[in-house]
Amino acid sequence: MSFVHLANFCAHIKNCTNVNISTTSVPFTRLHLQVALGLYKEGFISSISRGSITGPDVTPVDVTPDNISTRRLWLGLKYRNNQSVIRDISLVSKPGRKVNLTKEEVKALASGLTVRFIKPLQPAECIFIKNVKENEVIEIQEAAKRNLDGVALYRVK
Amino acid sequence: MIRTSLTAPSVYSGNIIRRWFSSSVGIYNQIKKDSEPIPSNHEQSSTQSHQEPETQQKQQSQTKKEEKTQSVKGEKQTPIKVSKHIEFLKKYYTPELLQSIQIAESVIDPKQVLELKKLGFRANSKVAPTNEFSDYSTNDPIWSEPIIYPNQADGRAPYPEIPDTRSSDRSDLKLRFKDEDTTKKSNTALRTNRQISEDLSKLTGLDARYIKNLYVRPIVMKRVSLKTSKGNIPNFFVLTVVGDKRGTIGLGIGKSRDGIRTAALKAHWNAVKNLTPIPRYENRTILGDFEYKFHAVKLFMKSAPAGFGLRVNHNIFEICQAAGIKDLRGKVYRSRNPLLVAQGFVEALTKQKSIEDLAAGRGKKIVDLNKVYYSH
Repeated sequence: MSFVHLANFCAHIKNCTNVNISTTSVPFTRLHLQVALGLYKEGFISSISRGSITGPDVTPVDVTPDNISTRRLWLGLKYRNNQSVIRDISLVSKPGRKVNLTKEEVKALASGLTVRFIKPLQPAECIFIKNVKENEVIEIQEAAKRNLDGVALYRVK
Repeated sequence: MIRTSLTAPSVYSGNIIRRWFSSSVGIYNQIKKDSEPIPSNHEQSSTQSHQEPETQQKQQSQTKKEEKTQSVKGEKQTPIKVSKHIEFLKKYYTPELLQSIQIAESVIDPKQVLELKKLGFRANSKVAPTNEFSDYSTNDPIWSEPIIYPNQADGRAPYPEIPDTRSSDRSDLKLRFKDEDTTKKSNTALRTNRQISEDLSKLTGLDARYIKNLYVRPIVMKRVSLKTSKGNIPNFFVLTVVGDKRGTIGLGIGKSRDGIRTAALKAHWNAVKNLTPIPRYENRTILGDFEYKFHAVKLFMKSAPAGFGLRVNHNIFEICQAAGIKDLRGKVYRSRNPLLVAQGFVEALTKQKSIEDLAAGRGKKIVDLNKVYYSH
């Protein structure tokens, strides 16, 4: 788990949305895949597909030590009325400072309160948490339902 | 042709015409008796020589006369030429006109005619002939325009010509019918609220009563001075917010040199022209929070619960009042320039995104928790 990689991921998506790019590729790693899946479930991106450096794979290709270096994860970005659906994507925990949230804090955040320095959730905004025990990236509402705690990763709106 | 002498402008005041006729009466009588035209011009040389622009025909007639007088050969030669001349003129003029023409021709000195002929095209005088008989004490109302300002002639003055209504031959006069509405209306810029609402309803298409009942508030009223080489020129600037307290607002700027009132009026006018709807949550606060940067103004506005009130910048307060926003909190950072704050806030309000749009973008369904969990 690298917050630097996550930061790069968020920055790249933000840059792409600023210039209305339809599909982008990010490094193919477990974290990126989890984050991308989280975004896809919430409806912020239109598609995820594995691919190479050149583009997404039309037919599925197994990842082998030979082609691992060229493997990328391709994301389809969404736009509506000349504006990106992802208006803002930013980190909560940064490489220099991690934000570990307890169960109560998670619930408070999920219900729209301010927790520490984290600004309250806005309408149609999502915060993603990483549960270290199960090593999964989950949305804060789901985490509140399941009584989980974790590290606040990033927020999207 | 010779007619021009009879219709000559300004020079011929009453005195002159009388004199001229008195001198020529004798000739006229002679003409009647003899049925032959003019005797020699030696009688007329003592009288005034009136220089006039002459046509070729006239000169020709004069030359004939000259020849007639200068030759002094006898009365036999002169009548032939003269009679020929008369016959020529008879084709074009009535006998009465002929007589007057002959009188006119008799007045002119042949020597002067020669001199004019020598000059050629320069014979046309650009200056009106002098009128030695007049002392310029009287002004002919028909022929002379009253001289009120210098350079008064043919569009040389910077304002339109003063029409000579008494003259018979003025084609530039236009018929004007009095427009009753314009005469009755006062020409001042200031209007009553009722007039404003009526005029604006015509312009915008909104109901006049709706415009009349709008909440109007000048936010910024200041006096700005334009510095020139000769000093300061004051100019008045007014920023007005207009709203129906139900989710429609408009910002308008008005400027005037006349005074603050006209500036405020213009601002009111422009504000109504700029009316736009803005979304509100539960008709009392903004949709969520927003951080908006407008030029150097950084706005951090947050929605507030019911009953909270407007705890905001005073300029934003006025705009909220006009819009019908009752609960709001927020801070203005960096610049707090009232004009920019107002403009920035209105822009931010219009750029709010409704939850429906956001959900549609993400492909999600909206569920109102109030209605799901609580029964009203």
